[in-house]
Amino acid sequence: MIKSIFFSIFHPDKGPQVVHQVPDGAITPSSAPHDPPPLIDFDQVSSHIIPKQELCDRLVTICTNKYRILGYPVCIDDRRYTRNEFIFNFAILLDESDEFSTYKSVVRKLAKLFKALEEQSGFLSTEETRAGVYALIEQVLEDLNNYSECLIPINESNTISIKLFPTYAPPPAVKPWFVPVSTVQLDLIMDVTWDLTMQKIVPYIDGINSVRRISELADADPNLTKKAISHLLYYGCLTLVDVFLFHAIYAVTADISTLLRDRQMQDECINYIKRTDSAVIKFPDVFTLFCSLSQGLSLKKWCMEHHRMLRDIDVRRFITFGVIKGIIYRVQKYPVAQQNRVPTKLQALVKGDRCFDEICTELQVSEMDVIKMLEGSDATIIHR
Amino acid sequence: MSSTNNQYHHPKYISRTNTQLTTLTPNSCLLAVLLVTRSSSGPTLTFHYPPRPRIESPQTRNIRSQSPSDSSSSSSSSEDDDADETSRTTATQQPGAASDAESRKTRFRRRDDSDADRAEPKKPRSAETVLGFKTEFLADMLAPKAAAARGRFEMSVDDIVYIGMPVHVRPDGTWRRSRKRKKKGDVEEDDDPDEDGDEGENEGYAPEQEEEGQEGEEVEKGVEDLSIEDTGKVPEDEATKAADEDADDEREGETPTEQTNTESSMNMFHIVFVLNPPELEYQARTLQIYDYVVRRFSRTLKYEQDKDGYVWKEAEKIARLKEQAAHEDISYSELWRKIIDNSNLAHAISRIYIDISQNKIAHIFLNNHRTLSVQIPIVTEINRLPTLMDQPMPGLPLTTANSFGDEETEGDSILAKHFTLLFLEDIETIIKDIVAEPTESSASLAHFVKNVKPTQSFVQISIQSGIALHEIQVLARHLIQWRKARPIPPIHQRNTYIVSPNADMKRVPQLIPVYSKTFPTMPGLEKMLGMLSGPPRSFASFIPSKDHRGAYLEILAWLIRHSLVTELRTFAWIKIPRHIKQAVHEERLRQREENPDSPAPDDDEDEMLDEDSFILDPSKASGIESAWLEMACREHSSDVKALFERMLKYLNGQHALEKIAVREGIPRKEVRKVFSVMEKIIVYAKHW
Repeated sequence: MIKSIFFSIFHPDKGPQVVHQVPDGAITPSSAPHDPPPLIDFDQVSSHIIPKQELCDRLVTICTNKYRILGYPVCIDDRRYTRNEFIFNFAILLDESDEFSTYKSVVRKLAKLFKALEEQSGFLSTEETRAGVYALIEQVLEDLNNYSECLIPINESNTISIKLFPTYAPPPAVKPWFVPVSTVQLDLIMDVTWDLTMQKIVPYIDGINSVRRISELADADPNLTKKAISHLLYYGCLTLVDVFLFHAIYAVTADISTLLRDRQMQDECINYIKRTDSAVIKFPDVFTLFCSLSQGLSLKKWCMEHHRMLRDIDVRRFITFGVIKGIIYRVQKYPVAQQNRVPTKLQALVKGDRCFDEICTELQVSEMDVIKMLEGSDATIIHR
Repeated sequence: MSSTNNQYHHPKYISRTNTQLTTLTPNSCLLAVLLVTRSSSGPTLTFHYPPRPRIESPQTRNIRSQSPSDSSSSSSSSEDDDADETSRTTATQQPGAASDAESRKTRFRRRDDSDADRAEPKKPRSAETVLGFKTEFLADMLAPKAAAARGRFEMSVDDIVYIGMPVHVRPDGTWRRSRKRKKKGDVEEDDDPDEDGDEGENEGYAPEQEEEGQEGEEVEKGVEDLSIEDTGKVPEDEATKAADEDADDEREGETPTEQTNTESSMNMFHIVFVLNPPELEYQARTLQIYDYVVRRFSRTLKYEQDKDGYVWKEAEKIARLKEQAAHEDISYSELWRKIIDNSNLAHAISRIYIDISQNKIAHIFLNNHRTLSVQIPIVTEINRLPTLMDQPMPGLPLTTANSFGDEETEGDSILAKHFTLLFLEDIETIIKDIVAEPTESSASLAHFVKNVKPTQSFVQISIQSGIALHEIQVLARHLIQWRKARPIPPIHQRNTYIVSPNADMKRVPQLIPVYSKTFPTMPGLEKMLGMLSGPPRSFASFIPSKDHRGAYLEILAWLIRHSLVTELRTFAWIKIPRHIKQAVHEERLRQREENPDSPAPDDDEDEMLDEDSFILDPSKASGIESAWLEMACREHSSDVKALFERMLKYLNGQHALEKIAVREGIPRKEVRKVFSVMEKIIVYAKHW
């Protein structure tokens, strides 16, 4: 929430001055005698709001009195000004503890827009036009706080157009052997303006194909594919899982108990894993099934042991659900072998730091092929 | 399996909330530490370290290269996979690295040299720039007006954050309120009441020795010293200005009787930490460094400045060295080395920068008598395994075993008595470190360290060594805080261990030879890990003979220490099968028929007779749940029933069953027996 927006300038005689502020009296005392005192003491921070040249045209923030001021001081050099320069700042006041990265672009935008206006017509240095600034910043404050965006015309050719975008965490690393699973229906949100690689790969994102496989099937560059997938991850359209394999091993994580306490997740699970719409699956059975996954037990063997309870369950979706929710994990296998006793192409890959998924993707062979190549090398396979 | 169609594409999608949006892996984001002082001639950047701070550090680059909108990043490199890997690890230093036993001195020298090795002009430039600013400007920017500067100072320019706690001289010329004056009832805003109290708990091996008694005397002496140097140096107008600022201070409720501060020409000093935190971690990182480093360091300096003008003396020393250098043919890095060699404060600042930027503990020695240790606490273990969507934290121990604030202990600060310590360094190294800083407690600490065995709980260690349990808990906590040890449930051959799913496999190739050196006659590391890779079994089943037991347990401790292995523990819930629910239902119907006046029980749960039911919290079972439990136990002996009742509170999926025997004092055999009898109503899950 923006607490205040204020416009200040360097006055040739009086120094830094707040010209307009919303709400009135937030920064410097208002004329009305009974208004609450200002939120901050402007004089204490004025040298950071209207700073020397070094800080102009840069994003400057300063904390004072539990508030954070975001500003972007602008300095315009021109003979027509009294001191040959005009310094102004449109600053935003937030609570010190507020996430403020989204507002950085707001002050940058305001600075650039008004700099252009000033250069074109002396918008800010002319008393008459400057008077209109109050209404503008008032509108910006209200609209951003209420609607997270604003579109305010200033004159025929200039508009304040700002939208607040949340800052997302950088997407996780994408490895060629990871499998992207869509969390939204990608083909519905995609249109012809999308990036070409994106359009090529989206049909192959089916929750089964690995990143590498997708690039092959789509005949797209592997790096561009990876980037496109990163992009979709960044915007939360995808999530990543391991390749699903029947000879893989899955086991529960400490998060398994969350499933038992979360009714919504239980319903979501049942709807996701059932083979047909009419199938009836009881949650206690599903939970018991998850708990029976264990280290040292391949999924294939597990299926045979539990085949009666699995009649109405799509095992792949059952596993995918568990992995995405983090209530189960895939046990990865890392071969370690004497390097001089394996084929050359395998030598660098069997030191114990690479899992089968990685090795198989790298060599374009199956896990069985790798195991065959390891024969006679006194290989150990570490399950992690 | 080339399914290009969407036959598996279900219309329903799994919702997924990002649970670890900003993981706080160790990352100080520290670029530089600055010392700004203000005297009557204005603010000065007295010292900064490193000599040439980078403006951008790896972690911001990392964030940018990962942002998909940045089209210039990694587009050309075909191996950007590996690039990702390296940038990630540089951004968030490996957790294991934080505890390495490298000697402090060698570390320091190496770092120092590498800074010096950079190509540089022979003479210090007259118009010096630091962090892209002229030093005069930087000093000005970081010297806030007195009235504005109560407590924390924080500002940023683009992505660089400056955070500090300016310390101003008081109107009476002192730097901190003395104890006596405090008693007058004044509330001082910039001085937290815990100022001296909180320092003891975080100290190094040497507990704080306050010299309160001599304080007054020494301060006077310090002021005398300073006044000699200052005589006649203060220009008239500047002096008035300083007095004006003092007037500002008066508003704080202070009525100075005499203006003594003109004797000292410094009126403010400000230690500023320069950071470039990733956008989303801004608040957390700045708060961390402020709370754990900035505040403690600044306060200690305030104390020393008040005591004998320490900061100003050091500032003058540094200024003299810089001035001398301007007349000599001396390189920038030579000058910096000279300053660090000659100024105790400059040395301390460099140490803090070096250690904190590497997420280590900085131990400094100030003003010939005061030790101070500062660190940003690091995450030492996790209980949740990061998924592919989370930031990986490879190499962090993975366990839900909670050593603090467990229900059996009185509070969060007391270590569970059934835990023990696993040392992260050689015992010899730890003892050497303890002996190096002799204090009152070092003898008992060394004695304790020698007696700790990772196979014995604190209770057992206490009995065998004769050290009182509460003392053990204090000493153990100390060792944990100083990253020498990690609390673990005692290692036991009957427990089950697996390769930790969070083990850092990238380290395995380097660890294989290290392991062989430590255990030359035993099977190799990969064989040991391979052995723990099958279906979970008790560790005892891997030990070939009784003679091997000791060695195998030692290996196990080594594997846990390197976070390669974790204990697989058993958790359980009670699941009432439908036939028991049916039986209870029928019995209730019968009772109602026999006695129609009896009140109808709460039958909500009674409805779903066609499926099993979990009892989420058996120690708080509802009416119907109790009835089910009663029915399930009916056929068993009263002994079993009584034991089962005591064990109920552990059967909610939150407690490892392994701890029941120790906690309840029930023999393991009995526990096992009860579980086997009650088998039909228990669901197990095995995790860490």
